[in-house]
Amino acid sequence: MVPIEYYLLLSAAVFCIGVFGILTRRNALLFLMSVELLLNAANINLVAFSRFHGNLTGQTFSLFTLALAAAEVAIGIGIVLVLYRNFDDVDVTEATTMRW
Amino acid sequence: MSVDRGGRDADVDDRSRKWPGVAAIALFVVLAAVFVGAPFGDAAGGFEGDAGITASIGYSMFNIDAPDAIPSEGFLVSFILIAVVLDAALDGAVMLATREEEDERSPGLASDATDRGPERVPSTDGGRPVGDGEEVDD
Repeated sequence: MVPIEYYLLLSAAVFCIGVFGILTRRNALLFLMSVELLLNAANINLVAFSRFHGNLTGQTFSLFTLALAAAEVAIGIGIVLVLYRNFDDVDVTEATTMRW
Repeated sequence: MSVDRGGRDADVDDRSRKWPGVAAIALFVVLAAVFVGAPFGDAAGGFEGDAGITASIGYSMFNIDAPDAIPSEGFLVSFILIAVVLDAALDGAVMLATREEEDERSPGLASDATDRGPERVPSTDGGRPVGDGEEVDD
């Protein structure tokens, strides 16, 4: 059985890659992908500890997290669409206010 | 991803790329130090029960008491809540993507009619460029 620390290190690496993407990227779609990396890092932890403790709660909870990620992406892509229509670009630094 | 004439990645601001990278690496080092040094105890050594993992997830998702299922909590209320949230997200995505015919701007995030700026006149000539030898009538 793979030690739990390996899963945690993988999760931390994915999480830090997501943080780096959020801090540096200006494209809204890449922004969304970075948020997905953060969510999937949490999912790795949930599944790893589920197996570590011999309980299925973590795996079931990760499924709900995936569903929430899908809902977030649906809204996020809608916002990207509106951003492109109004600013002719998907650069998140162009939209500096909540109104125009 | 767009690339400018200098060959650089125009999607990323080079000036602000260094410190976020340093911050991400520092965060990883801190997390790794904590994870490697933390006492997690002994692993359970696999799942109990004779049912498969997938079947047991189904049992826990719908609060079904199966005698041979792997132990877990019930998630029926969470299942219903997530279904409602997904339905709301679908409606929100459709609302944001809907375009009104007379107004080029999307109605989804506009605050009110007075904030819409100068009125845009839709093109009626198919978008042909002006000045290619034809005389333009106003």
